[in-house]
Amino acid sequence: MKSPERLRIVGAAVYDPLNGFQGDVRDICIEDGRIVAQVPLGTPTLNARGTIVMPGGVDIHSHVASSACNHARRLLPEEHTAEPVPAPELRDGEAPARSGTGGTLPSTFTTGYRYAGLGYTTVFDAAVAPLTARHSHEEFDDTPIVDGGFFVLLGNDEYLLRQIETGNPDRARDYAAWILGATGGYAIKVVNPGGIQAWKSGQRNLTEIDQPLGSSRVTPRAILETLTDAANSLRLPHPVHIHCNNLGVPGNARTTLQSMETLAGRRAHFTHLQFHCYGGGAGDGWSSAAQRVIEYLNANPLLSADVGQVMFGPATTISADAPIEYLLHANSGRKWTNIDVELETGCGIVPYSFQERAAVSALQWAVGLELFLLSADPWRLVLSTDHPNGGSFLSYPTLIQQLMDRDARAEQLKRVNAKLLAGSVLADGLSREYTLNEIAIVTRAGPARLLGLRHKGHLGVGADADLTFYSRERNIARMFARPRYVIKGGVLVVEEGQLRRAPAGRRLRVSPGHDTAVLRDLRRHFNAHATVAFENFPVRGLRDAPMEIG
Amino acid sequence: MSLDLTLHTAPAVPLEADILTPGRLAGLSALETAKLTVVHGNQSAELGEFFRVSGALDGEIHLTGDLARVKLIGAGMSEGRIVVHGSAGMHLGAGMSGGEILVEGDAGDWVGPEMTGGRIVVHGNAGHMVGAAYRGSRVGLQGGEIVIFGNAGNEIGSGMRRGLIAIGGDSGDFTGVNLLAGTIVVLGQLGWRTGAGMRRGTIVSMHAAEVLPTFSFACIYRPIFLRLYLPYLKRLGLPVTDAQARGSYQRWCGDAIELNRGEILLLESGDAAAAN
Amino acid sequence: MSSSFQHVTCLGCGCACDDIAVTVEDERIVRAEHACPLGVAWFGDGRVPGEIRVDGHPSGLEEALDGAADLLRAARGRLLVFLGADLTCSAQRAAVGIADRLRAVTESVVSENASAGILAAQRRGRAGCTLGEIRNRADLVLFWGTDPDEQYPRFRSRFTPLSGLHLRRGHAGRSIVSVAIGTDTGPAEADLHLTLAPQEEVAALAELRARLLGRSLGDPAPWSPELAGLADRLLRAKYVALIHDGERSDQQRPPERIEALIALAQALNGPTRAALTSLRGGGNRSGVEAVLTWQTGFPFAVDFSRGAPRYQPDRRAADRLDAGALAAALVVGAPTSVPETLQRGLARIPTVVVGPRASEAPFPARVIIDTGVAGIHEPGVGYRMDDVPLPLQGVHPGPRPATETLIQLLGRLAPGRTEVRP
Repeated sequence: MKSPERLRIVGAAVYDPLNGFQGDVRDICIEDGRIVAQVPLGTPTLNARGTIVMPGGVDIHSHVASSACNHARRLLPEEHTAEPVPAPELRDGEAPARSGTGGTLPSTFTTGYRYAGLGYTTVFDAAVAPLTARHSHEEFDDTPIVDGGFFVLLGNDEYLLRQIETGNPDRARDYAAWILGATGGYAIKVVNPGGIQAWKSGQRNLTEIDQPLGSSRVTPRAILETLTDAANSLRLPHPVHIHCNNLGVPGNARTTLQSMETLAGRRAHFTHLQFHCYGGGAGDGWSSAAQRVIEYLNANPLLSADVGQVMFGPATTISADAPIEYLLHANSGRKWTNIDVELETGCGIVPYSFQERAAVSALQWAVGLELFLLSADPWRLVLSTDHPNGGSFLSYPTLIQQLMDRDARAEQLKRVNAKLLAGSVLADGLSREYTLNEIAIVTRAGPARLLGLRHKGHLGVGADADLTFYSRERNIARMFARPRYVIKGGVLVVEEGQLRRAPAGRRLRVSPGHDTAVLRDLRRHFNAHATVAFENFPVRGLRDAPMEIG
Repeated sequence: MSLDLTLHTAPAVPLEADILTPGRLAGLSALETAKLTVVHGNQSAELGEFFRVSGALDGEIHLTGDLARVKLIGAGMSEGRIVVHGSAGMHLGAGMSGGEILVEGDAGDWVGPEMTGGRIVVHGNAGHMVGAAYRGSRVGLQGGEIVIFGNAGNEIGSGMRRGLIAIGGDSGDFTGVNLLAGTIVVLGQLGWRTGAGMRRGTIVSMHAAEVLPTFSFACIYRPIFLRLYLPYLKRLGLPVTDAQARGSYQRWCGDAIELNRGEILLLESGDAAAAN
Repeated sequence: MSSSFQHVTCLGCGCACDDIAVTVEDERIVRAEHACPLGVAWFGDGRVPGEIRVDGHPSGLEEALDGAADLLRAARGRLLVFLGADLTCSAQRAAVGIADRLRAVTESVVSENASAGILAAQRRGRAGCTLGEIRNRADLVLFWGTDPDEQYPRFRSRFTPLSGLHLRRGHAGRSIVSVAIGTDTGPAEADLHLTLAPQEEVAALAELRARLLGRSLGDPAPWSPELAGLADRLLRAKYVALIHDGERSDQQRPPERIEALIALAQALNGPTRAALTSLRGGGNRSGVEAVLTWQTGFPFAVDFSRGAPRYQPDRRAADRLDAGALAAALVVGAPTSVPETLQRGLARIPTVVVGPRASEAPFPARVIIDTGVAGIHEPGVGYRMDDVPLPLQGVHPGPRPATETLIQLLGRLAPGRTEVRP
């Protein structure tokens, strides 16, 4: 049975923060994949009484569809052996679904089905090397249901760094614009600015934002400023997406605050902030610096962040931040993959596990919650676990429960190793509980706004018809784990908690204008240093048109 | 009284029989047992299409016939006893956590992979990967005992973390590869590259063996723990002599390219005094 | 009529050179400029058969697809889907979809050495790089038991030329070490030569690694002073590129050496930086591994018979065929890429072949559908040996494309062919 093109949904309590609805029971009308004001009499009706409805979830930072993800999948056959996932049984008439495997980095079809099963309808891969962009498009083509896009890594790019060295910010901006168009990407990503170049050249890493790369004038600060300005002057829908230097290192809050301060007055997004909020230092142990950092974020309205919450259980660390991954391997003894990507970036992968009995894991968990609970503006501090780095996206319902239910939080707190939690604001008893409205903001409305997705994250007329219906339940984790209905692009994909349809999703991308003079210079650069032809670099034949910018 | 299954029709292709554990068959009558589903090639089939089922389960299952094509016997079992009067197929006792499996004939590859407890005894030969870790996995056997009276193949005890593996005959190459801890005793000859990548743990052999250059000779001594382990193996039926239990062993430490806390013990000479 | 195509990607070997200029005259490829002899042979003149046959008789496409679907559905027992060479990634994706639908066992072009490398890398991980890093950074290139010139003719000129973005100029910039093992020699011109016997290889690698880690060893071996010298060189380099052949080797070299090479490359990243490159063959075989990995979680030896992917690297198709455990087969891609051990077994079961030169298959097949060759007749995506994805062009009109043909076949295979509820 085909999903009807027109649908009226009645009886659900609407949580649409952008348009001011916090539980009002109202009809929602859908036509041709969009929310409309009215539909004719006789339109099929979905009775959603007893549910609350939110816009479909938007995951602003995940690792789901990239060459790096595939290297990670290849590294983890034991996880896939332990979790075979038969194809879900879709409705008759639908193209049959695909089987797959789970674990921390599921196969692509399983990833799409699972995200949709959780009520997420838009997912971004946060770290794609431009050289492998074509691979991400292939993987997204095999990730059903969700609309997808990715961020391209530029913070250690040879050509970009050369423009900084020669004092050419305009060319840097034109290059960024060209890269986005050529790769079909959505936003600019910076990971450990300069640090990955240092890893490859023998300098190993950069640990201060004014530390020069080799004998050049390029510093992390210069990279941050150049790319932030480029993203803002190109008026990209999402500002530069920053993974600061010194991820995961005690005392790194200092670097994080310096990075934020250098971008004061400019739009910028700091990602998986939790991993960058530690006090203490070398020889001085670990502590939480969440309060310091969140206070700065609260006070600077142009900055935004996603949390990167740690959830106890297995994880896989996968990052362009190759030097930190090497250290994790050296310290933990776990297996390790490192791939240096020519002219652009790197990739490190180490399987990991966050344990309640490990003091550092417990601190990381606490820091993430502190950020959430001390945040003054849910529109600017949104939910992520940096899947699968901090934990699988399947743990989002449990995380939501810990945000909404202080007793659940307290229960978890009792079970952890509290050695490093002295002085932690969480341990002192933060009693705040997120409301449903705030959850709707941090999981959909907020990320959509930060990403500049005008048609997502809300249920106003003209929005994409992406909706998630949750049955009200006392157990919040159960409630959010199994939505009763999920509609994606107007198609009823989940019915009574079961996946029943799996239409293809769209690619979200931008193609900003730029001065064509950069092309001549780029061709020279490719001829001299690249191993792929300049003409072969851009991805062609993408089905979905780029988003309008402006 | 035990539940008896006798093979009456040999499977044309391997049969996946992971339902054959005391836990899963508990409380079922012979008739119900015969109706259980097994995977045969690409099809599902009933157990009764291959086995005649009689008796009742009181903690013991007896399987009779050449079951070399029956895979996953006893997989995941936690209690009870399975006796195979014949040979058993691959993945015998995979992941089991308790109970005992006894095979009178041979066993295929992958005996007891990733076991956490219990005991498997094979009177004949076994194949490769006894007590081993699955592909990509770091840890193999985590507890329990595997005793092979005959010969065994390559990569015995790969990634083993705890437990005991004893081979009455010869072992193949890479015995104890990537061993994390635990003990492997080989009464016959070891193959090449014993203990490659081992971090801790002990590999014992009653014969001389060529040792990797990343292992260093430490001393010759009489290990006390062998005076407990080897008689224990003797009580299980392995042909251990008192001379071996009390003998002197060369101790080689390695693998130097890993943690270097592992040891390979090679019998230098049986204890002459004990022989008297 | 003459036309020319620039920046064409060649799939003759895993180098996937994408700077080939192809000239087509009167429907024949007459030139493939920049291509090495392997590449020229791979392009050929572009003409491939375009036949469709059912049980030896010429047939229409619809009839052949129906026949193929019937044959596969009627088989009692497990099916084999063989993922062969010269397919675009979209064709490979469709083929894996067919295997999923049929609950088949898959097999692909993965040599024994390559599978040993895959398994070792799953146990340990690996330190690798894309090929341009070798060119731009490697001041020491160690050819371990391989001379790329024969099987990968442009590898050295493209990836280890004299100069590189981060190298000092001239000969001082890059030094070459050539290690010969058994009959596998390294390049003749090198700054340092070493020779090992095959039975010494694993021990030598272990010793090298121990030296790099500063560990003490047992009795020194006869080659130790040479190895000590090599270890010093490695430690003094800024970026070591270890190159070995991931496909072929002297039969006497033990497969365990690959894990030892991986471990050595990883260990080198403590004191300095290093990456191991496994030379891989052509025909977009790296694409098969990439597609299988993202669609199933495993890079090869994927078995769908329980309704979800399982990993069976120890039980390969040839063994299953010999045991009579496979009832029918679908070969997708160039049938000449099917290993001989498998070809013998395929002769005994009903087989469908869909791919370039299917009609010239060296084994009997009941249904045969000729398609084009990826990168010659069919555009799409192909993978270089370092997993970099490259665009493929169609430069010559060919018979029906593999992707569309496979999608049509998929459509004819009813869902839920067998019900297995273990």
